[in-house]
Amino acid sequence: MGNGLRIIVCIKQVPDTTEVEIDPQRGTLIREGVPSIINPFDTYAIEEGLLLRERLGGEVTGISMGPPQAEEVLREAIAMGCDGAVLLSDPAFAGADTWATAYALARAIHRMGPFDLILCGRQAIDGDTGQVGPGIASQLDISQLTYVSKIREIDPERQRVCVERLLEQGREIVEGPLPALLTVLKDINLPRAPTFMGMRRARRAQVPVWSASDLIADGAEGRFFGLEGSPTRVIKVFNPPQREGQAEIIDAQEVSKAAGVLVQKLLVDKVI
Amino acid sequence: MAFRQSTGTMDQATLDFLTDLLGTDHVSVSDADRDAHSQDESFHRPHRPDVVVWPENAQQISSILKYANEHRIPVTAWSGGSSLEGNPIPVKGGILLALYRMDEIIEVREADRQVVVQPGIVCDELNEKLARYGLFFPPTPGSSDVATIGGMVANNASGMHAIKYGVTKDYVLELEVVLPDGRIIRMGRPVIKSSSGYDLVRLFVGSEGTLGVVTEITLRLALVPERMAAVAAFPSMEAAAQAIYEINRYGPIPAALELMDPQIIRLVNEWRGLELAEAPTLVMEFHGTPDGIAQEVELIRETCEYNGCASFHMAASPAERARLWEGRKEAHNACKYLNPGCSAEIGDLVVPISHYAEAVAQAYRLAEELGVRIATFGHAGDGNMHVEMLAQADDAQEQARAEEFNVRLVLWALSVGGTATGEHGIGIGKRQFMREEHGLALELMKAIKQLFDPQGIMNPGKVFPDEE
Repeated sequence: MGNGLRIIVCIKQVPDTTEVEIDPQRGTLIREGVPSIINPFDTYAIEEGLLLRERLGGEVTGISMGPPQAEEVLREAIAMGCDGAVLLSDPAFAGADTWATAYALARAIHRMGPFDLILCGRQAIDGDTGQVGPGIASQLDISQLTYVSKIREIDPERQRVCVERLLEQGREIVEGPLPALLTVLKDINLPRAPTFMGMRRARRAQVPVWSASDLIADGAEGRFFGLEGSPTRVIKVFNPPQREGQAEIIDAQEVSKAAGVLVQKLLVDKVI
Repeated sequence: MAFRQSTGTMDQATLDFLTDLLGTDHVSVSDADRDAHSQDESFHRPHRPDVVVWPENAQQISSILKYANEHRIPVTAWSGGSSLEGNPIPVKGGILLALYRMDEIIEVREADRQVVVQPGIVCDELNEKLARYGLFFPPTPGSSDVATIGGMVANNASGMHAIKYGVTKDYVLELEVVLPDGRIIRMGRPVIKSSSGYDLVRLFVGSEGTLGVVTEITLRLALVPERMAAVAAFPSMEAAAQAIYEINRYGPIPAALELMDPQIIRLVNEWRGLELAEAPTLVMEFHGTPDGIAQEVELIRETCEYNGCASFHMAASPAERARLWEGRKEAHNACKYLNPGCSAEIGDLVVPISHYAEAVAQAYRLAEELGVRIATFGHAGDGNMHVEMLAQADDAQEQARAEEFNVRLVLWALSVGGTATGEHGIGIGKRQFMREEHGLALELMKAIKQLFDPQGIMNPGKVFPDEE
């Protein structure tokens, strides 16, 4: 493809859950007045894109779907170092589940032209589904490598990528063809903070906003957008029952004795 | 000061008062809680408070101080407990005010480049929250992952970036403080400059909780710059010292300029499994615009090479920079954890930067003379040298030799115009040098203490030397 890697990073604007409080009556999140941030997992995807660009050249473009104010997180991504960004925003996209979200994002990525790599965070901290990344890959019919903890090698010439996946039972080294979609873990890097140079660039950057009709003009089907296009139906929202647990207070006069008792108990229970 | 004698237990009336005020889950007399607040990161002996309380706001603190003042009960504020000079150890017992639950960011004033915080917020957590604004609080100590802003204000803390950005006092614009008599006052204004009146903010910064309790802090922030780190290894301490001299004298001045001796490199290599060359090593950081940094790095590389540096490595990405800095950041832990059974007393003297290399040489001369095991590292760019003095905890003779080493080294530093402590504070261990360092000015300090805290309830046993 030449001239380095074309990298797209999917970014979601989420409420800062460290600031969110729960309505004790309804058991739902109180979102009013809560600041919005880049989904923290996505910052690792952005950083990985920037590191690849520094190594191999190319460009990194952010994409997000959300209300008009989601532009803020795209500007933040530009401040971190992304070359540009696209926002999908239209009332028609509202209420989308993970399938319809992946569909719209995939169509927008298709509209953006050829690419080598799509990077996503492993999941969003508000929905916690981890489905949109894989959904985009399947809509675009490209390989998907999830839970990536390290990109071992990426070869634009041979169009191959080799990664380490961190799974419950261990590490897995997988190779696949480009273009590919990767969802990345926190272990992969240490995201940079926006610098004043980045903030200057972000302030004046143009962030194009694409509507449903832009995607339809490019061949997308409007009936797959938003609530209408979402096969998922929420029947009920409820709090899981409180776990029954037992607390035991180890009553020892000295910390060292208490620690000794604790160690014995953990050994008996085969925790350690 | 005449305190009601600490018996290790708090009387019931006081406990009832505290429980009524704060609720039972905010007051504890358990051994575990008292132990957890009896010792900081220093080598100083632990001492339990009689009761630990976790207030939530200035009003509650005001009520506590008023009561304590009336009943002459010692009060010691505690925010992170990561201090290195025994600063928050409640040596006279009494009430321990644990402030680390007061850890809110009250307001980010993006346009003014300011943030208003409570004292309990941890330095790194604050900077993580500020990152999205492209702003940061620059005086980060080596322990920024645990150090709280309240503790940093109390000790006038700083760290590696003091050479470029200055220290905590340069960033505190406004404080809310509870005085021992319960008055809640504000001092300072949220502006960059002011010629109005005495600078009470600067008086409180570094007062180590001996004048009152800081409950809200307005900080000035800096723009996050582009960054680059570099590490240069030298064949000898003399060569490294000459490079430091040339950098300090002829520039450009980096954002950090740290010197580690071969002994400390050996320890961090062992502690973290690193493979740094066991040579005198300069760790540097550069902040600014990309072109500016590139030029600064080239000029300093030239200086280092001219002075015979054996290697010069650079790193730009956060992960690579973190790797270069790992050795320096882990220096104290390496000394502490690789020498079990030892107390690792850490010296914190500062000399005029022209005396820095001499200070390192002096430390090794004294160590040899007295048979003391030491390792040095520190902020060569601002003259602040840390000396780790290792002594077997159960070896009274070695402890005594280490203490003599410390006293003689500090007195030497004072003799060349230095100070006993650059960033750790006086706490317990440096009180013995107050008279020597401040002379008659110490009397003024005592008078100020008397003015704010006539009953002497605030963090007693700190800062001032024992009654002469």
